[in-house]
Amino acid sequence: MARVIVVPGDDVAGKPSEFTYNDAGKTVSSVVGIYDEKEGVARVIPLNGRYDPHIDDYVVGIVTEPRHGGARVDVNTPFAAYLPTPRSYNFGDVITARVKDVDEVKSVILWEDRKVPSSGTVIEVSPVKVPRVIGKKNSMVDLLKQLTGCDMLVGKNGRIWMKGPSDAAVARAEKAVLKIAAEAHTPGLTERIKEYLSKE
Amino acid sequence: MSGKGKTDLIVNGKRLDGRKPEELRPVKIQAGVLKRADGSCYLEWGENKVLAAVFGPRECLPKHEQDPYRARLLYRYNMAPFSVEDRKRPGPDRRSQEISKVSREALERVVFLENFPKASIDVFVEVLQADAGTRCAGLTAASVALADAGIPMRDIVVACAAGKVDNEIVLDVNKIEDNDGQADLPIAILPRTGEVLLMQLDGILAPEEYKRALQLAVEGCMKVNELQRNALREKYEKLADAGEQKE
Amino acid sequence: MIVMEINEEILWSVKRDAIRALIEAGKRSDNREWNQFRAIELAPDFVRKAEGSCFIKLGNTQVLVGVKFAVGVPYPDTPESGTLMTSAELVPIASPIFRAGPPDEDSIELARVVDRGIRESKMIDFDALCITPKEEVWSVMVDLHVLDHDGNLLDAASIAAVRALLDARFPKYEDKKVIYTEKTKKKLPLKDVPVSSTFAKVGSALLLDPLLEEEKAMDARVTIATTHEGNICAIQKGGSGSFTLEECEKLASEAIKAGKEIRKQHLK
Repeated sequence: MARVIVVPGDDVAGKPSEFTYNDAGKTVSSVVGIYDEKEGVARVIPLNGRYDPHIDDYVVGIVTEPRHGGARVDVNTPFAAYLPTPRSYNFGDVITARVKDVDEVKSVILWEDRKVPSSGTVIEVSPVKVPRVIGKKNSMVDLLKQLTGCDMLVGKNGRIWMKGPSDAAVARAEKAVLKIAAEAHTPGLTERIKEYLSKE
Repeated sequence: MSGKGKTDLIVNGKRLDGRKPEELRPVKIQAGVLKRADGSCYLEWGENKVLAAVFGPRECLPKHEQDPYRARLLYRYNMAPFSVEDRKRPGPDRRSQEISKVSREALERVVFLENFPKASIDVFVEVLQADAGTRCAGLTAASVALADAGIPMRDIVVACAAGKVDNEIVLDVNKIEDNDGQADLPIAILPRTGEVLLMQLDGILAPEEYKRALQLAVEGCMKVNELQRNALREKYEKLADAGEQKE
Repeated sequence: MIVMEINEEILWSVKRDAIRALIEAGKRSDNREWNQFRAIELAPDFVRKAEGSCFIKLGNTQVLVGVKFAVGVPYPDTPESGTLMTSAELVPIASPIFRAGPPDEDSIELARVVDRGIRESKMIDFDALCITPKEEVWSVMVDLHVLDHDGNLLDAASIAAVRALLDARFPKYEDKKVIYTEKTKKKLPLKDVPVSSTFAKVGSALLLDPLLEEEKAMDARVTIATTHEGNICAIQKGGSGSFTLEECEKLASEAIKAGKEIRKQHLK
């Protein structure tokens, strides 16, 4: 089925799901996104947006407030998440973790925290672009790692940690990721990224 | 609004700028024009030039304004000092604060604020050049900026004004007409349902005139709404079949 | 008003080391030379209703400058001179860390530094702005409206302000009233065209026209305004780091060079 760009207020076919709502029996898009209908359900993939936490998300966070028995961690949500943990952290430590719980006021509890090696860098893209940065079966992120020699951890919250053999390598990787995010919805992106990274 | 009813603003069915009574000024809309903001929109409406930007959902400051059930919506309408004839001193004046309030109230039930408890969605409108109708231009741009930022909403709110000039009901008054006109009625609607979300009146209208003005303003709104939707679609026009986009 | 949001601050603190390392290796993330300006796009007369205006895009930094004229009473100690006032607004649309409120020290510094470059170069012939001595003089009001902050607001605002002043035209003045809707063909009486150049110091590296990420990583910066004759008319050092004497001289001569280029390309 051909994919169509919808904007808030557009009627769509299919039962309502995330990013759509029910208006007197009609399904309506609530965001700017790409729409298609699958098995009777309206699917809208938003083209922009901040991180909306869900249980089990793998995220890259930054410790903002170490505490006894845990830490407050910034995961790119309006307010910091809480991580109960026996490990001790410092302000600015970069970690990966999983979302254990999200309550009704969107407070996030994390677990399965791991500190990443120090001296890497963290960049941010819109969370809606993350699937493209990862690619089908990790194809895109593997390509990036291979062609830049960098190690990368991609968080569902739009944060990407990377560390490389040289600062130039990291800079290349960073530019490539931003390029993917900017062109996420165009065809032939994988080829273009291959080309882009082979040039420099 | 001096309400003196100058009688040479419409001559032979044409207004001073050549428009017919039911004609809109030209409107141009561009989505996504700022790097730092989460969503943005630049809009030209006749000689009006406005720039709207949205940040959020983000931390709600000051903290005591946090609402555990929904995001706070902040709307700040501001005019650049050079946007008007007599330079305006920087900072909010009473007019700007009133416009901010009624504009925010137009959006509060349209944006799905309950999706973002305790957070804030901040909408900022900067008027760069003013020629009457800035609150409508601003709210129209703000809606596009909200959509551009990915903030979920029921529909794209649109605003437009009708007025009474030279004893005739006209659509979309410009500055000259506003100065010597008899009434000005800005409204904002939810296009899907026609619900009126913002409405103000300056001047005097007989009941029949009010009805006609409302009707004209709604027509104007629907025309501008098309342009809003196109502007958003255009921004992502490069999209083709993003077959690799999987969740 | 600027309130450091925890979100913004935290990301920069993690990136700072990586950015510094890149710069110490002699590179900039946009591949520029240390003494190279970003691409400049000017849209003169952007706000046609104002007496003068210019929109600038310096890389991704975007600033709109407006010039308004009014007639007022001169200062008592300069009864036959017009006046200049420069203000800046760091409006919230320009950056997630700008919040609405009265001008803070950054917007005040921005306004005063741009003003100094214009005033000290003697760009405007203030005596020619006199209408009636001791009673009526023209006052020029420059408003810097920052729209998108990606580094080096100082030079962006300054270049746009100079362009706006070059193109500004007097409104009609009749019977003691300014008629803003009627612009004359008369331009400001101008004697110079100042250009400002800002350098950031990161470690031992010096960078002209710093990006936002370079400003976040810098130890100090200096803005140097130069005249068309190649003299220096205004300087502002900012940040808590320091410059050596050699660096001060080196940057002054670079600023003169950069000034000539910008004047040639954009400020005729």
